[in-house]
Amino acid sequence: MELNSIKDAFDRVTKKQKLSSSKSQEVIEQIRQEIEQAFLRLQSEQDSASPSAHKLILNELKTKLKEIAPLSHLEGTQKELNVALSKYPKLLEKSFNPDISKAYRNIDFDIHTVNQIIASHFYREGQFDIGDCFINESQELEAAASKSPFLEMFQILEAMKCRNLEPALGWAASNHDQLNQNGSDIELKLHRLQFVEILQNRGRDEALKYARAFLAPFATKHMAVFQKLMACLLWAGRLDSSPYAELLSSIHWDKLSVELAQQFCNLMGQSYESPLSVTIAAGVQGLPTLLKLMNVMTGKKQEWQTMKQLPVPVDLDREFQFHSVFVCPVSRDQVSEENPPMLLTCGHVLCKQSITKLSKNNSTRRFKCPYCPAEVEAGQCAQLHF
Amino acid sequence: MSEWNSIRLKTILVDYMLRMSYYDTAVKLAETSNIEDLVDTDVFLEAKKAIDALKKNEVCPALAWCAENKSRLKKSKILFDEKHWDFLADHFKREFCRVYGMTLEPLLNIYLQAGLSALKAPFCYEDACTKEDPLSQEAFRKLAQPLPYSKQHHSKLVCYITKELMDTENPPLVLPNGYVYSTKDMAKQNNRITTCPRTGHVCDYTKVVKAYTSHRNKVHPDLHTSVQDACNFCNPRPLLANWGRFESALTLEDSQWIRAHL
Repeated sequence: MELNSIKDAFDRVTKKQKLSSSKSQEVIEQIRQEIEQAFLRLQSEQDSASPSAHKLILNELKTKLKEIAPLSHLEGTQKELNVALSKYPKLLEKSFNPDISKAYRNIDFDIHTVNQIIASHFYREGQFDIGDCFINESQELEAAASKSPFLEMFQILEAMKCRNLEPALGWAASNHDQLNQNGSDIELKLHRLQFVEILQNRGRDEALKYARAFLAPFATKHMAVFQKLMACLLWAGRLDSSPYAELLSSIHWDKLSVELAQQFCNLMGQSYESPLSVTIAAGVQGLPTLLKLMNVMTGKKQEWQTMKQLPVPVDLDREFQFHSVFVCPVSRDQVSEENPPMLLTCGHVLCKQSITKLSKNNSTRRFKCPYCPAEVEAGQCAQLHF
Repeated sequence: MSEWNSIRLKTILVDYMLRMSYYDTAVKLAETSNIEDLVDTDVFLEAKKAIDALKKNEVCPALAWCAENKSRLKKSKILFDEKHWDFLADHFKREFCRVYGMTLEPLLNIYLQAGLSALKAPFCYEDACTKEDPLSQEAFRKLAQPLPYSKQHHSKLVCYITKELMDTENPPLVLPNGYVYSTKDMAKQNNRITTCPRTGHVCDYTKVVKAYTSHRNKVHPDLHTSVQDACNFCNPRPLLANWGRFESALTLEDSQWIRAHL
């Protein structure tokens, strides 16, 4: 945001205001002095008071006041102040109050869908009271379905904050197969944390018992981790001064909480970040471009309402790039299923249609790659999957 | 998500609640998030009073508000001529929003629509779409349905596995089956045998080839001829003479390759 230009405009107003005020004071002071002088002269001549002398003094005063010309002096500075003063709110309005609804396509969002998204956003952020209140007020009773899984997740995470891993371990055990299938080793990580906790607080025997019961099944697949944990047994009671002291770091708890939330959402078929947060953040980033587009398109309102693809790219940060996009460097087309990206034998990539054109639709005809001296055949180009 | 993003989203949500007349939620959310100063609860309650009255065919609160804001109401004369109460309520709402510099639509709808337009791509509708993409969710797809697709002018390749950007620093590598993964991911596998996670295809790492997808530096046409001459006639002189001009157009790797081969 251009706060500097606003500050400049504000400074201009204050400067003009000061100027106008000091000028006024100066003029008033001048007038005051003239009157005072005239007054003194009148007093001194009081004794030999002749009306004509008095008249002369007053006439002189009148001429002097006319010479000072207070009105014309004050008018100028006042005018400048007014100009600056009227410009300032205009600039404010322009900077802070652009009508962002210009970029709004006049279609009604289905209120129920929006409300469901919002309810589930509250629940996934752990704002259960507000979620309940919202569902009551909006009467979106079916949206409450998203509450219980998130409630379970937050109970697990809350317990972890108090260094209680039982709910987390219970969840991991009951989702053992699915977690395995996703290639997640979170169950082992939870057991490792629990093992260290027990070793610290309840001693070697308990820890060994725990390892036999819960860590042993992971031993063959994760030998290195297992060996390290067994070595910890030797340092029972003084783990903090052992080579394994880093296992005690609270970072492991924080990291594991995040990973658990990720896996939990994943098993629910949900994203880790709230999709509402992500979309709104993308909207905030994209809106200036869309507003600019609308300014260019004024008068073509109809087009905006019906267009199938935005005519300009809306650049978003890396975090919003969920998919690979390949734009053919020759045709500038975005590749699609019908027009896939193809790898030339020289390593450059073009879209299929460009290759067809360059080879004049002949799969054995050699053509020069537009990006290097290599000659290639369309028939040898291979489709890519990003 | 940064803290500012989260506060902004909360103010947008409070705005939505107020406009939809979910006042309890609005107040509660503003209170628990400590953003009462950032939202216009009082203003909306004032509007609600007037609009509710208009719907009951009472004009007093609306007229009182009009009198209060006379100087800022330019076109409000028609307010008194209208016969239809619903239209009147609607008109009042419009004028009210205008006077306070507010959009007529909830902010949520405006940002949501902009975000969906910016994110909407054909890939969002594929089965393999990542769950992190809001448009993988049915509700978001439904809202995005009447909106245009986004447009891209430049390739942006994201590794299927690491989700990292594939560019000159992390170039894309192609398995013999045509599936592409990033160099960083391939380096992680530290194995001569590579398995494609999407097809199960197994291949030797030596069969993997690099794909050149960034054409940001369009190579000077003279370079082609010079390289060709250098290769055909074993005469590197024209190439080396113009080296300064060419080198900036080449990737570091390519320039090293050419130097090594001459």
